[in-house]
Amino acid sequence: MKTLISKVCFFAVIALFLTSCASYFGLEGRRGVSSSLVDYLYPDGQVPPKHDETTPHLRLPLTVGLAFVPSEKGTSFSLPEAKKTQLLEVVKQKFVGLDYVKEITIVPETYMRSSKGFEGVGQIARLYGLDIVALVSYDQVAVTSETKSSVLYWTIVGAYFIKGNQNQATTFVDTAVFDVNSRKMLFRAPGVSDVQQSSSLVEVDQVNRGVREKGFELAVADMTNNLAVELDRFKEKIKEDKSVQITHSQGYGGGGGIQWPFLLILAGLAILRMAKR
Amino acid sequence: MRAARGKVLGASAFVFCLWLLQSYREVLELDRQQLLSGEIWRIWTGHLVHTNSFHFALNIAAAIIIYFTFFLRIKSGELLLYSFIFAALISVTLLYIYPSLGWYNGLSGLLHALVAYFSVRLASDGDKVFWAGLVIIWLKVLVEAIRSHLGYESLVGDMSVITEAHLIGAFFGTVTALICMVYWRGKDKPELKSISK
Repeated sequence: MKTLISKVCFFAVIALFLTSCASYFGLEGRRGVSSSLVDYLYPDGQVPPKHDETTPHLRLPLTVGLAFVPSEKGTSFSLPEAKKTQLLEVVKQKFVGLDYVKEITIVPETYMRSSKGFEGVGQIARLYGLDIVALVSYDQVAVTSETKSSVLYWTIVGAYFIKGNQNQATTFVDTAVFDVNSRKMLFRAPGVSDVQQSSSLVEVDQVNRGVREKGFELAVADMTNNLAVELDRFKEKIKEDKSVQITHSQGYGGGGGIQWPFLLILAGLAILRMAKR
Repeated sequence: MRAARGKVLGASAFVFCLWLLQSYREVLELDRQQLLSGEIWRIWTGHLVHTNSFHFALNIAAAIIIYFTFFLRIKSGELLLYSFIFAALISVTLLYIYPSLGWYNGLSGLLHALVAYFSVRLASDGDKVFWAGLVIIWLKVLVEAIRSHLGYESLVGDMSVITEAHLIGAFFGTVTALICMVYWRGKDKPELKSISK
């Protein structure tokens, strides 16, 4: 009996150690964070309304709100608020000089969390005096896997010096621009990135965090460029199909400017005139 | 040679003075609210300041070419007088017809008016080639008006071009010239300078 107990104890201890080793080396996994625009605008299973014929009316220059769609609560994997603000600042700088944009306001995610749906967006729009809002939703999957060289982690020293982990973050961000009054989407633009970096075992957490942040930075940069292209397309589209009514509010202005083609004609005329003299 | 040097110096001085004024855009441009609060000078000075360096450079280049093509025979006093009149007419009309326009700046509206006016004036004085100048100006403003009606926006850099100012300028320049031609029929017209070579 005693022999049986000691055998069980022996195997229990062995199993415990093996589990510890497995836990120690078992950071391999797939984690992610995402926020859904549809879930945010139509919470609790609300059904989007049927398409109506309301024409959005934009009064230039516009006050634009820029915000991340909040992610589901309880995930420790999402970006900190400061980093999100920093990313949105990059987007803001790209568009802040446009003469039909009066102001671009970055709306903190904490404000966005307070209420959902178009009612919530409307409250924030009234608070900030916004004409349109650009909502950035995202989806990021981060994978950490061990490469063949991770076998050297068994030497313990290898865990510090051998880069046997591959950290990868695939990120998708999408900005949808809405007219606050008509609740209609004006245009949208996506951005993607795929970042990979290897690390030693002890660096996994730190490198993984860096890869995720880099993934967001690159995806937002890609989205910003796409957003500029989509904005140009949108401007051309509304000139043709008149799907959006544009008026200029008080304060809109411009200059009287001669453009290149006319300047060339003038130069031609001047040369002709001088030749005639 | 001496006269030519004088003209080049005069044009350089004009460009330099205008360049100095660019730093005071905030207090000189045609701003509806400020004008209505009593800053009347903006009616005239709005045409002398520009939104950015590129805008300034394009308008100045055009002004210099136009001066040496159209205005060499015009006396400075007459040029200044009509600049004063057209600047006011364009500003007031812009603000009256376009109540949504908050601000305007730039020389080009005034240039359109002067070119239209002096084209008619010089053509009626026997230099028929100036009718071509008038036709080109009107073709230009009509193309701009049609493009604007179709929803296209003219830009200089990031700045919207208020093409309506060009149309208004060409209109006032032409109408004023026609009125003057009728008025001067049988009377002595203001003298033109002879072009020194």
